[in-house]
Amino acid sequence: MNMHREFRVLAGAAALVALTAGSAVAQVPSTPKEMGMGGAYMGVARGYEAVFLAPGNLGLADGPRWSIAFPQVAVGGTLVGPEFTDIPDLIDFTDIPETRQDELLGLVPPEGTAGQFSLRAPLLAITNGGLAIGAGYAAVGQHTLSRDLAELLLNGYEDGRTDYSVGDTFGERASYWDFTLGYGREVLPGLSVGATGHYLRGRTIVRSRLFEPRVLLEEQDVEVDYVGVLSRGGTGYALDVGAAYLPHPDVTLSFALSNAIAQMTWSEELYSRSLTINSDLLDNLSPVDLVNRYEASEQRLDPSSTSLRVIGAAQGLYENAVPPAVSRFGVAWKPFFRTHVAADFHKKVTDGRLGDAWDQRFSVGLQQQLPIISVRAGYAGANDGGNMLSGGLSIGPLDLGVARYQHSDIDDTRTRGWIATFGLGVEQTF
Amino acid sequence: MRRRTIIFVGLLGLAGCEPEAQLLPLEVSGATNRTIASQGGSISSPAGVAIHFPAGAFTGSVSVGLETTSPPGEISTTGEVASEAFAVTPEGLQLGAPASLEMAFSEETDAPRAWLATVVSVANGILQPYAASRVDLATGVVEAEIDELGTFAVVIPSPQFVFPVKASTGNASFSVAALDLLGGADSVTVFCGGSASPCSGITSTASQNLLDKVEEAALLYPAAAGALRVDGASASGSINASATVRVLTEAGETAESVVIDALVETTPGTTVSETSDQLVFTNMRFRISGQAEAAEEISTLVVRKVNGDGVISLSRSFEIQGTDGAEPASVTLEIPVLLHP
Repeated sequence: MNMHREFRVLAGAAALVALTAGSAVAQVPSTPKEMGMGGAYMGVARGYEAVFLAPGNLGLADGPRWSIAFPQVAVGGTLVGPEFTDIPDLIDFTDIPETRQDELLGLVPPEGTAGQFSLRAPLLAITNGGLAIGAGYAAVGQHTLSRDLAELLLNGYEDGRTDYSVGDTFGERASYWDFTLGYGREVLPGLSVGATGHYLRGRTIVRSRLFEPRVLLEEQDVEVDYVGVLSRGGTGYALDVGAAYLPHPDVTLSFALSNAIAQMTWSEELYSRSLTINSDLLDNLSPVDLVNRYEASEQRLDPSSTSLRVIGAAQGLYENAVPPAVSRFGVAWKPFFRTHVAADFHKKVTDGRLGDAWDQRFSVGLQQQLPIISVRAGYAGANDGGNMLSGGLSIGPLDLGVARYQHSDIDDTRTRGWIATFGLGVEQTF
Repeated sequence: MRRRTIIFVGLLGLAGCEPEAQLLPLEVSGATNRTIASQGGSISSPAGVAIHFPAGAFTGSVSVGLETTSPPGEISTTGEVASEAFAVTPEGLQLGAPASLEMAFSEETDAPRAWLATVVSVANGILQPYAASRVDLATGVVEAEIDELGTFAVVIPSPQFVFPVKASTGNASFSVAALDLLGGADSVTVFCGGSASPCSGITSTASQNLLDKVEEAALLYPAAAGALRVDGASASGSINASATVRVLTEAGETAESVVIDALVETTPGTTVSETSDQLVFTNMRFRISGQAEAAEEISTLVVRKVNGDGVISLSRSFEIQGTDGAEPASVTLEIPVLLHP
C-alpha cells in the first residue's frame, strides 16, 4: 500500500466533499446597490430595494410609484488562510517552487482552514405604492479542513508521520426560498411604518463530518468515515418591521427589525450518507468517483438502526437554522443633487445562521448618480475586526457590485474573500 | 394611530425572543426491537449504542431487543463504568460472525485514562471484557467486535487490569522463570485473568519501532490458563494466553488495539529436560494470532528458573508501516506462573 497516495487522495476527497457541501460569509447584501455602498443602504433604499431591507421605507412619500426588480444575485466566498488568488497555485502545488509552497502552507492557520459561501438572490420584487411582493432564494454554508488534512492535500504523506488528525473537519449548508409580502404607509407627514412578512420554504439543510481515522496497525491501512445527514424541505416564517422618517427632504432616517419574529421548521425526514475511505477504495476510484459513491450512499435515517457516527454527524443540523433577528438603523443624506451619503448600523439580536454573518457592523457609503450611470463606493467594519471594501456601478437597469472582505484575528490568521453581485431593476418615480 | 403604535412597539418587543429550537427527531423511546435476518442488519439507540450484524451473524431471522438497563454488578468489578448499560437480547446468543458494536461513553469519568476505555459484557453471569476495543476520543465512542449478546457497558479499566508496556531489548521467546525446585518440576500451571484473579505481576514489552509510532501503550485484561504436565522426559498439556495492547495514537484522538492470542501445547515429539536454571520443552506447537493471521510453528519452549515464581513470555510478531515500507514489530507478554514439584 502506498501511504503517500492514500493520505493524499484521502485529503483530496475531504476537500472535494468540502466543496460539494457547499456555504456564510462576511456580509452578503441583498442587492448590488446595497453592496456597492458597503451595505449602507437603509436610508437610500426605495421601492423594490426596500422589500428585503427596510419595510418602513415602502411608505415614504418620495418612493417610486412602482418598481420591479428581476434577478438580483449576490454570491460571496471566503477562505481562511489562503485567498482565492492563491487557488491556481494550490491546484498546481507540486509544480510550483518550494518557496511558494512554503508560503502557501504558512498561510494555513494551526486551527485549519475553512471555505465559506453565501448566496442571496432576490429573484423578483415588485412594488406598487406601499405594497410589495417578492421572492428570493438564499443559501449559506461552510466547510472546515484541519491543518493536518490541508498539509496532506498539499504536501502528500510525510513518511513515517502518524499524528495526522482530521480535527474539527465538518461542513454545513442550508438553502431556502423566501416569499415576501410587504406594506408600508405614511402615518404622519414624513413618517412611514411598514412590515414585510416572509414565508420561508426550506430546500435543503446538510451537516457533514469527517471522523478521526482508524489506524489499522497490522493491516497497515487507514480508514476514514465521512458522514453526512440532510433534510429536504421545511417551512417557516419571519416578520420584518420598520419605520422611516424624513426630517428633511434630503435626509432619511430608517429603522428596521428584520426577522423580529422568525421560526423555521425543517423536515424531520432525515437522510444519511456515508463513505468509508480506505486504500482499496483509493486504488480503484478517483476523487470524483468517491464523491459520487458518497452521494449514492444516501438512505433514510432510522435512529433505531443507524451508526453512532450518523447520530454524531446529525448533531447541530437544526441548530440556529433560522434567520436571525437583526436591528438595523440607517441614515442617508443628499448633500447634492443625485449624491447620496449614507451610514448604517446593524446588530444581530438573536442567533441564526440563515442570514448576516456579522454580529454587528457599521457601514458608510457614497452614491453618485450621473446621467446614464451611477457609481458607488462603501466600507463596512465589523465588531470582530472584519472589514469590507466595496464598489458598484449601475448602467441603465443593470446593477453591479463587488466587495473584498478580509479579517485578521489576534493570531494574524487571515480570512479573505470576494463578494460579487449583479441584478436588473427598473422603477418609475412619480 | 395610538393602536398602531402599540402594535408596532409590541412587535419590537418580540425581537430578541429566540425562536423555539427544533430538536432532532432521533429519540427512540424505551426498548427497541428489530428483526435481523441472516443477511445482517443493525439495531441502535441514539442514547449511545449501535450494533451492526454482518451476514452470517444469525442463521435465521432473530428478534433482537435493545434497552437501557442498570449496569450489572459484575461489570463494575472490571473498572469504572463510563456509559449507559444496554441489554441486548436474546442474552447469551452466540453470533456466527462477530458484530460491530459502537458505544458512547463519558470521557469525563477519567479523562487522562479515557483512551483505555473498554467494552465489557455480561451474559448469563459470565463477564467478558472486549479489550480489543477502538476508542475515538474526539467523539467519545468505543468500538468493539462482539461474539455474544448480553448486557454491555463501557468501563475505564481498574489499575489491576492495566499493565505498562516497555520497550523490548531483544528477541522474545517462550520462557518460564521459576523457583529453583528441589527434585525437579512436575508441572507448570497458570490461571489468571478475570475480575477474581487479575494477572498481577505481568509485564509487557513492545518493539521500539511500534512504540515510536504511538503516544502511550498499555496492556489490558490479560488472561492465561493451562498446565504443562511433566512425566519424566515427556510432557503433555497446553497453556492459553490472551491480552490486548492498547495504543494511544500520536495525534491523541484515537486509541487502537493489538491483540495477542497464544496457544502453547505439547506434541507427541515433545521432550523435557531440566537444569538448575531452566526447563526446556522441545517440539512444542506455538499458535499465535491477533486481529489478522495466525502463525503456527513447532519450536522449543525454554523455562528459566528465577527466585520462586515463574513468568511465561509470549511474543507475537507482525508488520507495521515504517518509514521505508513494512517492517517487523512485536509485542511480548510475561505472565507469572506456578511451578509444582
